[in-house]
Amino acid sequence: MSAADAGGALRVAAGRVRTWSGRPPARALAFLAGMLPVAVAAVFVGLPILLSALYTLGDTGGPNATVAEVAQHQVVAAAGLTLTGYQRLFATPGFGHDLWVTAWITVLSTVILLALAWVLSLYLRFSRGRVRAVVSTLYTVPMFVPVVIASYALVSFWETNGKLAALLHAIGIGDAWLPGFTSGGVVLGLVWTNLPFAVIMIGSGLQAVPDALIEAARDVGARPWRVLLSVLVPLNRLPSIIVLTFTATGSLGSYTVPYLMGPNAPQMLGVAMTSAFQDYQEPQQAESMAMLVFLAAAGLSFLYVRANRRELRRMAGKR
Amino acid sequence: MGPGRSPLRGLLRGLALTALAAVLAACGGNAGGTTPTASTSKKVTVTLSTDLTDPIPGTNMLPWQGVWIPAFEKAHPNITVKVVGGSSGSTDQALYDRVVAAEQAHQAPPVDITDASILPQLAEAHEGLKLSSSEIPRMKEVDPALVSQDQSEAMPYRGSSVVLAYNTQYVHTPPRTLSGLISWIKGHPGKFSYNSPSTGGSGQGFVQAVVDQYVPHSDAATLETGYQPSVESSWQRGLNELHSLDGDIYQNGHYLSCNDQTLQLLGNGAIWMAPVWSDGASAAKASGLLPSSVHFATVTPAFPGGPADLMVLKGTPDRQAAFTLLNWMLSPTAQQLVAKYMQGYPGTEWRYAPASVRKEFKGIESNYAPFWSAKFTADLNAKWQSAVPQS
Repeated sequence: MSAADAGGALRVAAGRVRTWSGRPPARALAFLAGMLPVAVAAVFVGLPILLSALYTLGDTGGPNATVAEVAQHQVVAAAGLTLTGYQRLFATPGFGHDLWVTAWITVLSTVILLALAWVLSLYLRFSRGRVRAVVSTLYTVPMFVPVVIASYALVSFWETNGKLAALLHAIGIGDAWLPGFTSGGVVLGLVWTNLPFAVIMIGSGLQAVPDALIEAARDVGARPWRVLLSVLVPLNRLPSIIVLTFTATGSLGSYTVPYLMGPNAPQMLGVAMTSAFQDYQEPQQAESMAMLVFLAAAGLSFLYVRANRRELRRMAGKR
Repeated sequence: MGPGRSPLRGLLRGLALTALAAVLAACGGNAGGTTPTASTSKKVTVTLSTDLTDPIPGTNMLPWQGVWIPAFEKAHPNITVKVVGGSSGSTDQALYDRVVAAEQAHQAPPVDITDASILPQLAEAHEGLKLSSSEIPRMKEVDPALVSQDQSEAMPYRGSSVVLAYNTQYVHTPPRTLSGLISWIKGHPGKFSYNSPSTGGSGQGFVQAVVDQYVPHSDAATLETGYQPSVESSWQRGLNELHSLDGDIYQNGHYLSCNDQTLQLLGNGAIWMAPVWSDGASAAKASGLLPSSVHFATVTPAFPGGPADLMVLKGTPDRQAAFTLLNWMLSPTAQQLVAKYMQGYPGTEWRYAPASVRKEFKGIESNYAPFWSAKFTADLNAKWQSAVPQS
């Protein structure tokens, strides 16, 4: 976009603003209409997060009084706010393991998912024929199986007395390799449940790359690797980042898959915080863990917002 | 169709007349309802929230909606019982919050009666009405110790205990003592498991019994009804003992995640012995989920057991109807239904239970220790999680 074009766009926009400013009631109405979703988000999302944050910092008054009434082992700030609750949480035996397992399961499952989704999407983009038709239907199946049922099915398949064990025994492999009730199994479960979304995102991005572009690259002598790295990957950066941030955020706070498929210890934070809340009567500890997950997810969403903005700028540049 | 005879207008007029008639009728009904003689014929509705949201094994009936409420409404046609919400876990906490909030706002409680597992905490916050045999005559037949456990704000209506289930296909003579059971587990690696204590009472009962062995006698009463964290220092030995079993538990230390999973593994032969709920396991045996080769035994010191309770919340608009339901739940009719469908022990003392019920549970009745108080149980869950399963 040239500077003159940009100036023109700005003038048009400014003109629009002037018309609005000419009719104050309409402008106020538009402002109010715009504020409505913001207000809803502030009241139903922002306020609970704020209250929760205050509670984890030792503020047990006001709306936190009810939850504080049944809580055991909570830290109450004598005055102001305190980080003692978090200090005690980190000192709890086993919590370090929980934190670590949450981190590596999230990273590993997201990396495997991205790699698998790219391979599948490339296959769907460039192959033809009957196998492709089967694959293109098959990968969507996990989307239509509720997570609870899928987790339960996978874990029964992996049980010591299950079908996988029978297969492994037939080729002389022992039970030690069974993924049931291990953190490795949780990684597999998360990849399995997130695969359709990832392939749909990346696959549709790849389908949108015109054949002409790829052929042009080939014409100037680009090998498949070069086409992938210089054409396909750059054009699909946004869908890949969407997949990365959405699945990493989801995995970070996941509950059903690690609860049903994971080991008793260490637990992912989603499971640990539910136990703390329901079974140990420790809502403050549960909410502190939730705040940690929230902060990590906020970091990831920053990545997403930045990528989105860059993409918008790039699109604007193209015009 | 002429403009003056719009069908919409006719419909509206009809609706208005119906509404007026309804209002008049309702007023008339109210006037009659205020006199004590008419109150018996007045239809009242009591609401109930329950944790019993799973169908009875082998049937598609829910305990309240399918069994007790129809029988109760038949005996008391003027009272309708409506089940609202309910399910254990997080919604229990929600129920607690709503009850406390309603009390603080001076409003009627969200439900009239509850059997939720958060009941002990509700009793601790004095959210229930004090219950006694002056309003609920059959409470005379209930063990007074059980009533006092929850500040007299809860009424036991059925009972059950944790027992040792063993498969006679593999185990011919089950251990008779807790220490005998522990050496059996070590001698048969992978053939025993229990559900982690926070996921169900059967595993919790086993954990509590093992930890209880090393708790001084003087602390027993505190554990049952009070809360004093200093008592917990004596738990470490028991937790260490449980940790030492870790490698001999099914799949090198896989603890199951609900009472039902324990039953499934017993049923398919993956494990040979496990602590189970007397009622759940008997029901599973009756429905064929557990093979007939699974038998039940008790060990000494015994696993805990206890009653399931009902509470009438403070501020209930029609407490008389609620009391009527509670009283009916202890009647022979209701207790026979409890035994038949839930395999539950009677809510009354054994000597008051119907003869058929007493006969059914001969041998395992009354042979159980009480469960610890809710707060100690929560702490035990947390300590077990960080001490027992191998990270």
